[in-house]
Amino acid sequence: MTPLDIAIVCIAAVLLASVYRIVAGPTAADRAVAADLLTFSVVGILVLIGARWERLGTFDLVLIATLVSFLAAVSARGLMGGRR
Amino acid sequence: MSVLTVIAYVLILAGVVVFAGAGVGLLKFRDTYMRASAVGTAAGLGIALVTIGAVLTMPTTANLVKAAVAVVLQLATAAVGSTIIARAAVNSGHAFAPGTSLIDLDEADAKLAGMPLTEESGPRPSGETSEGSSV
Repeated sequence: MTPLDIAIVCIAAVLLASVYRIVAGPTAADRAVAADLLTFSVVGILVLIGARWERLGTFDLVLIATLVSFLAAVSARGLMGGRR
Repeated sequence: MSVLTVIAYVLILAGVVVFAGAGVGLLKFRDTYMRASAVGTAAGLGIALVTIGAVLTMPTTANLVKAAVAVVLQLATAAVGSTIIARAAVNSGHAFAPGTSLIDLDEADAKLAGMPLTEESGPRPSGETSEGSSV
């Protein structure tokens, strides 16, 4: 097991923790924060899988996923309703 | 194993530890605002460290440029994203944990409403949420 494998397993555990928080709630804002962390976990796993198997296109995907995760956080604001 | 690889692994593992802190905070903290704080700071820094470490394992020029842009974007947007979520939570009336001091929030509300501050603007009872103008 290389250090990269250990890192992938740890980030996958964080991903499962955020899925648990999305399922358990209790409020919509908690789910939005957990979804934010879930997109960060996906970016992290993408980076580490690219480094582990030495894929060439990894950092293109990372760049796009970073931007998409910010857009996801901004649009998650609409989940909660209420005043703007 | 070269020196660069060792540095890369140390950075990746440090980033994973910081990132795991965000996961623990998301599970253990008591209300939405503490969780948003943990996710915004720890996850942004953690992913930035992991990205720097990963690019050191295959340091071509193209990879270095892309990773530098990704790290800058990550550090700039992670905290902004979770702050946007937390502010939307305040505006839609999500409860604060008992014991949270709301003095700054009261001051911001009073400033927006154009009203002078009173001496009595202490922390409100728990569970009560922000009334009046939007923040």
